[in-house]
Amino acid sequence: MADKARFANEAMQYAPQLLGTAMRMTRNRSDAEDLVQETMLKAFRSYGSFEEGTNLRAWLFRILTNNYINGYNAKKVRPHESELGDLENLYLYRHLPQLAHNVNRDSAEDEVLALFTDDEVKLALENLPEQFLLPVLLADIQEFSYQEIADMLDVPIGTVMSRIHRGRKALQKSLVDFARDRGLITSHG
Amino acid sequence: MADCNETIEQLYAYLDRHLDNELRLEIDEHLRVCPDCQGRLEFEHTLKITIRERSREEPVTDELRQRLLDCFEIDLGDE
Repeated sequence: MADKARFANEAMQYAPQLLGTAMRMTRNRSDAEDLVQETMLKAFRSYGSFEEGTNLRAWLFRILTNNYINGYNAKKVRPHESELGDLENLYLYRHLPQLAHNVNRDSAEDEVLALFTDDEVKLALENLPEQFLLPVLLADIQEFSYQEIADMLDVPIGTVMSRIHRGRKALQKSLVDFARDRGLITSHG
Repeated sequence: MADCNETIEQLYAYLDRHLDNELRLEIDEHLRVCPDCQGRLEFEHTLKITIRERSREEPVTDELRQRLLDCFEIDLGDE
């Protein structure tokens, strides 16, 4: 069994990451805070079964994910995958030359990406279809392995992989839409 | 050696280091001779990092911090 105070201390260091993920899941701070609190409470209640030396961070995210799936899923409906239409490879990349016109210097890619606001990036994530959202958050934002995510979501690893890939494409599509709304891109390519 | 289409198709799996050796080597070979695909790969990598940096964490307010710490104050003996 883990030491109580140390467990609390270690768990707390992951609170900002858990909250970041929870906010993308619930799309509002109040629900996200509740979700993180439930997660910590549940983690602490079962910390006796947590084996020291195993991955505390993965364990906390697993609890967070399960709480979200069981409690928050139906609250706010996200777009369904079928509403997205075709998802293309390199969608954002192909719009880079146009986007680069909005940046003064001979612009590096990260400068072009700086055209997108933090809110746009967060919104693009939050608007992902439900089945893409969790794999993308866990893989690309929190850097869990495909295998860890497959375990957390209880789906085959191949499914995790294809959802991450499709989720990334959907996210790019959102970003291109935002850029178009702001007139950063004019064509409809 | 893979061609551009095959490379683009496998770009994410390659980026995530999730390809079997044979396919990875074929794409490695292609990337060595194709600046276009190198650029595509680098962009996807940059994009992934940018998105992560901007959304990985949210600041925890003092109030929430206290709420969370209170979770740990519950005495297991009272359960």
